[in-house]
Amino acid sequence: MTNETADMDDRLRDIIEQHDSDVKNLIPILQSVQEAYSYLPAAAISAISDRLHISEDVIFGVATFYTHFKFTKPGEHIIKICLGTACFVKGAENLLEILKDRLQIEPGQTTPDNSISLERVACLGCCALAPTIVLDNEVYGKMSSLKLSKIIDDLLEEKGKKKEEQRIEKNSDLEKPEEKTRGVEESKGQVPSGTTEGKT
Amino acid sequence: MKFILCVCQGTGCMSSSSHKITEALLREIKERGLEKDVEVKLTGCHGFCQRGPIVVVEPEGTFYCGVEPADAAEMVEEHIVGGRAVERLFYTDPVTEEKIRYYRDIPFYREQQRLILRNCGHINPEDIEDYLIHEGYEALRKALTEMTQEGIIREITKSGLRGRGGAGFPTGIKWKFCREAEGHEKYMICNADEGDPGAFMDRSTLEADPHSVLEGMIIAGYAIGAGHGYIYVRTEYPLAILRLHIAIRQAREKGFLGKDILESGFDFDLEIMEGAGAFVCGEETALIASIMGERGMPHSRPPFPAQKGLWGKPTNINNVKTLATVPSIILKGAEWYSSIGSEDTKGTAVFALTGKIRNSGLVEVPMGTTLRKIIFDIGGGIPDGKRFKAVQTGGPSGGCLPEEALDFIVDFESLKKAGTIMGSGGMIVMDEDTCIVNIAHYFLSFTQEESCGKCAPCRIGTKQMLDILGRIKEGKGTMKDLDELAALAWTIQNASLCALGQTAPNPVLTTLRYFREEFEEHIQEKRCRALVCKSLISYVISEEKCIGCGACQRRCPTGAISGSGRTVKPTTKGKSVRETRVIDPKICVRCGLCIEACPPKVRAISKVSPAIPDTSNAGSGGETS
Ligand SMILES: Cc1cc2nc3c(=O)[nH]c(=O)nc-3n(C[C@H](O)[C@H](O)[C@H](O)COP(=O)(O)O)c2cc1C
Ligand code: FES
Repeated sequence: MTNETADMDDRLRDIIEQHDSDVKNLIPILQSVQEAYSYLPAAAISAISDRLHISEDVIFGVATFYTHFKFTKPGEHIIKICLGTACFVKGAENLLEILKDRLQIEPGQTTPDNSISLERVACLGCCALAPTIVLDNEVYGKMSSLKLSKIIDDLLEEKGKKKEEQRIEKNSDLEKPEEKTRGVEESKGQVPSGTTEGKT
Repeated sequence: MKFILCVCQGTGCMSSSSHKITEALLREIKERGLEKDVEVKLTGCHGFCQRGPIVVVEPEGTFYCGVEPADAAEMVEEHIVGGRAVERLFYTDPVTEEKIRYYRDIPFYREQQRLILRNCGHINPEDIEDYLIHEGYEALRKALTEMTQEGIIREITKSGLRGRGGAGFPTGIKWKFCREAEGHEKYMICNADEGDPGAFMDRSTLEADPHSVLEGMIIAGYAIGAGHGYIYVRTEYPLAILRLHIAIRQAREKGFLGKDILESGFDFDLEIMEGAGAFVCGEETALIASIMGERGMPHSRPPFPAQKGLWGKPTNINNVKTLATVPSIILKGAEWYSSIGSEDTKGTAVFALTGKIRNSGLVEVPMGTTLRKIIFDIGGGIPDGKRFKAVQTGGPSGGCLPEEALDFIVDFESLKKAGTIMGSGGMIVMDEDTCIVNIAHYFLSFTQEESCGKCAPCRIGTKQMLDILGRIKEGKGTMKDLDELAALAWTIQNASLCALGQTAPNPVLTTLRYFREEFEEHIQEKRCRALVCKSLISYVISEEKCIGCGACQRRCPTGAISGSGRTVKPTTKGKSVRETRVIDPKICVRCGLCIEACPPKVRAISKVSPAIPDTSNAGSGGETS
């Protein structure tokens, strides 16, 4: 047994004991495990199976029924997009398309570098602020395509920076010469902020 | 006189960082040494999250909205010290553009009658003392010390209270069944799963006034003879769960939960069970299966939970709002309650009014109020000069009603007659930019995904219907598809095991009934009049309006926009004329970023339908946005 699995074993034992080692509490146990590991590792499922004396099939049967449970490790950042009715009516479907397109993943997936996971949810209960997304447990209301793109820009930029740091390479001209086309917009006044600062 | 600054700490306002406002206010108050004159109080949701964060100055009732932390200094200096209200933060009526100072004068609140939401926004949900000042737990005291269990059930029956979870079953009768069921061990469950996507009545109630729900639950537990209760809450509601935990702890400390409650000899305690993201678990038999740690699949009834429920014991299950109503009925009497509402349904209805509406939020009105009054008088109508198209109630089990139905009143029977259902309270308003086919497809894709798969009509039938709707959306439908939809709907309604399947076709049937011509346009003309269905629209840039700034081009994620923006004509009147941009429909993914990026004064980009054929750049056939 490696250190890691021994460690997991201890944590799981605590969680299961907190729930009286009772099969009745299978869902709360799974919830606690997911809270601890951010997903349900396969090793955890077999450990629960041993301790509760039920087959892994039963556990998977229950766990896969509920969308809350995940079986792969989510990325560093989690973007949840609400596709509840209120958000849908206010254009959430389009926002999802933008997310899929920019991140190149489908809902339920994580970017290959494990940095961002995308999830869709049905109503966060903030419908008056629709459309809404949740980024790392913070609710962002009254989203627009533009606002969302900027949030993704920031996320991707952070990701880019991290890569840069890892490579320890200095880099001087990443900037795009877009600022130079601003003249006309400014003469028109009232330029939406996004048109001048967006970096794509 | 002491000022009380009530700062909303509901999920909505907190997402707009209302906790920073609290901090800032406290700091300003401390700096000026005003701690004795002002109290800053945390409250739950006022139900007007759209205008949040909200701060109400009590007892006078000045209503500040859209408050930011930076406003704290001015609020304290002007309002508290100077006695001059900060007009800039008043609510501006979107219709009359009038600035309104007091809570009670704002049309959104003025026309409401708040009974279930009576305490929301007024009390501190994390402090039981505040609830106690507002008649809290007095109904429980009355029930336990002055009333018999039968007496309570009689009172609730007489009041005419019907369940607010969707089906509208008479609460008193349900309690009676459970009370009369054999067995010593019985359970009381509060259904706080609030699965309807687009509704947040239960969340707000739990966040703003959790003790009302607990009190109603304890009374119900006493009446039916239960010793233990569960509150089944969606896991997506962390703040509601947190506040419930606090409320339960405080109620235990005060002796409202636990052994020998108020020395009546009645023992009752309860625990919270978090859901795990399955819509069908809102259905009572599925919910019970979920509490027992199983897959949340419904079973056919009978046996009803009142006979054989949790762990096989008699179980009563009620919605959050139903339970939150109970204390008022016990205190004020059945006659008071039954004097409110319509012939058919007594009491009030709480709606989460959302979508394309000026005032979005929680609305509580007497049953019998017309849809028109809710949407136009309270909701302020449709924003941006758009036209009303439809209103959807009842969530995925409900239907879409057109303008002609606006004079229908809201109650269980009236809405059923119109083709939809009351549901638990989601009310979503749609304007001309909403595509009806797309909405029908949306609801069905929701139920299809949430179908537990146990019975074939629901599992397979909804998939078939969804495929057909998908085809129509893409302009590949045929007129025969419409008959096929109706036939499938009939089978699913009549053959499904639980109400999820039985009601799943409702959104499709009502839209077919009231908006058939939109389906036909999609099929015959390949046209989406709302300019939504991506296969049937194109984006175009008006050569006349485009100023060549390139904002759209920089934003386009697929590089579908060409044109260099270089000066093509030298200056006329000091301005240069630039080459305009052009969108290539083959590359365009119709995400709409370009429309948002185009400066508001220019607005050169619009959508057209039917789509412009790939091969030519010939003229369009539809309207523009
Ligand atoms: C698919 C489905 C979902 C439901 N979701 C909910 C829900 O989210 N909340 C709720 O209170 N009732 C829901 N119900 C209704 C419950 O089965 C049950 O009737 C209700 O909780 C009873 O409470 P009441 O008598 O106070 O209305 C749902 C029913 C079905 C068929
Ligand atoms: S529909 Fe998105 S928060 Fe409710």
